[in-house]
Amino acid sequence: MNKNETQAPWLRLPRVCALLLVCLGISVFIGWWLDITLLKSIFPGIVSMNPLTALSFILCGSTLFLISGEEVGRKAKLFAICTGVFVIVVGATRLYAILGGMDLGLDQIIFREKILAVTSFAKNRIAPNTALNFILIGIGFIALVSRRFLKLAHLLAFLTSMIGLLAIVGYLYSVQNLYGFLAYTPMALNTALAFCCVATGIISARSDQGLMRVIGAKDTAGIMSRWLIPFVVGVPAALGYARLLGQNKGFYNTEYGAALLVVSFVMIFLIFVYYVASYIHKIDLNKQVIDKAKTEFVSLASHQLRTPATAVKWYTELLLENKEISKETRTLYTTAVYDANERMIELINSLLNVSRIELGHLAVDPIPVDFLKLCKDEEKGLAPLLSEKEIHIVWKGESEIPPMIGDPKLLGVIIQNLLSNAVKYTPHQGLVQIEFSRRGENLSMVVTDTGIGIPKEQQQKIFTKMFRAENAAAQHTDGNGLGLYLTKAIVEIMDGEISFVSEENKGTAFHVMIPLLSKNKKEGVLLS
Amino acid sequence: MKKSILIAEDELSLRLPLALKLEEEGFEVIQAGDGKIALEKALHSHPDLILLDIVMPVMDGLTMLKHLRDDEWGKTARVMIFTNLSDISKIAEAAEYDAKEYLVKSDMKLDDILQKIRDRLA
Repeated sequence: MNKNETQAPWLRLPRVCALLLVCLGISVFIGWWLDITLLKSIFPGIVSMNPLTALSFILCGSTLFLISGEEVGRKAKLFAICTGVFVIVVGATRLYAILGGMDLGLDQIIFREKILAVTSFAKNRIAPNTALNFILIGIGFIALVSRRFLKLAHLLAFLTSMIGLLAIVGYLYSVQNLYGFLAYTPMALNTALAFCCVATGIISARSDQGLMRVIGAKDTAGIMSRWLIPFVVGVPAALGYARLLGQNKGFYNTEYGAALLVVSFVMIFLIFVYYVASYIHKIDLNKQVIDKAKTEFVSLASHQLRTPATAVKWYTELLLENKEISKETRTLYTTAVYDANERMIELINSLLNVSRIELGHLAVDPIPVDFLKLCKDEEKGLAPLLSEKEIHIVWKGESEIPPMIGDPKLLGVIIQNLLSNAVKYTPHQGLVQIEFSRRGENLSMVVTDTGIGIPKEQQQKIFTKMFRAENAAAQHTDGNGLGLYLTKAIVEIMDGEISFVSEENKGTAFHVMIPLLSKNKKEGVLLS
Repeated sequence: MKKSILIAEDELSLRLPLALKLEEEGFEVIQAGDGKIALEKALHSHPDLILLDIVMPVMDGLTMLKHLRDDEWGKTARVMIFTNLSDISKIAEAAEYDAKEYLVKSDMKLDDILQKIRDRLA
């Protein structure tokens, strides 16, 4: 793919989660240090995040940052295992104490005096559900390091997020049993949010594997799942909250509220289903158009290959059956076979170039180039046709061509296609002019001819693969309709621009802007 | 008397070997490089058979055929469509103008073409 292709936003998700976790953990520390309730618990009157929990989240965030992406180093993996072990120890020691075992009091070490001074929420200990989540997350991190246990990591992350979501919904609906357990300290709201964040980070850390292979895919399934997940999570919670709010305010009773909730669900989901279906329908239609274009392309390419292939076949037949032919005739036949074969090679090379460009495999190797020399070389190649048609190319502004850095092969394709088209479609003794000028950091080249022009109604298709304007096809049936397509694709690879002005039976002017310094070096397959 | 065949084919690399083969086999060959010239030569020379390509400059083969059928002689002229297109819609269109045979060039050997022509002129 070319360098302009932006990275999909969801590929940055694990690192976004990582940064949020680190920021949240640090802000909780600052909150404890400076006694700022807002930083410790988001809202006043609810439990604050324990400092050890905050430290664990900072570690989780740092680990996520290090292990997200395709290449994960050994040190990062080791760090992830250490973090996993650490949070398992935090969770396990606390759960052990809750179940009646020895209490090591690890969660009371940091900001000890301030924690011991807390009188509400059972002295701000780590909650049982928080402890359980740390064990799950810890195992999740260790599993994430190994490809074999990726599914386990995702499953544990999913469970963690569900426990976190339960607590968030509990806070939203003021149902303490959902975020707290018996008389123990309940899970803090920011802790619940942080667990959802860690879980999202773990699930999205491997963009091409596990759940993300489907969710992060560029296909319809990926797009749909990315749309559906926030909707499925957000809408029921929001509707439930709205229903509860209305009921608490006395707008309606429980039965009425339940009925209203059901109707709202049905209505919103139906609308959503309609939009989703319309979207998929549109994608399907586009796919059909692309499939049809591909089939037409194969059909056109095959048809164009058939002509020279038939010529090779027939001349070879003549050579094989006529044993007593003159040397001149034999030379004529073999030359015809050679020419037809050359034509096939040329077409196959063009098709290969199209495929390389479309797959993003084309090599780009910018070096210092003499652009005028490239143009003059192409002119030399056209000498027989120029002489036959008595066309003399007019050059303007050659002195304005500054030193350039670009791929000479790719630049050659641009020049060759524009120049040969101009000469090919210009009548006997017509005019072909090439004008250069410097425009800032670009070279402007305008190739003007007094040829057959492009019919107005076909101008928008002129850069389409294998498209040939009717008047051009009527005059020269041997073209393959790939020249301008390749030219535009190559100009765009170079970050340049191409446009044209044309009038039928009067002529055409192609305008190309090429950067003077091409920086897009790329490994790949060379142009044929 | 020699039977005459008009080859309407814009590709010289195909027209030439076919013409050579037919001449060698004793036919009188008339050549045309586009549909318009092919129509003029057909109406002028009244060949026994027309081998008609579809994709040709100036006037395509099917348009030429349509004009040919407007002529009194052309109405019954023997035409074999001779192309590299295997497009079903083109075959159907050719059949509308009473072109009874549709040959795909790349599928045929010169000897096969010769046999088809002999069968048609028999």
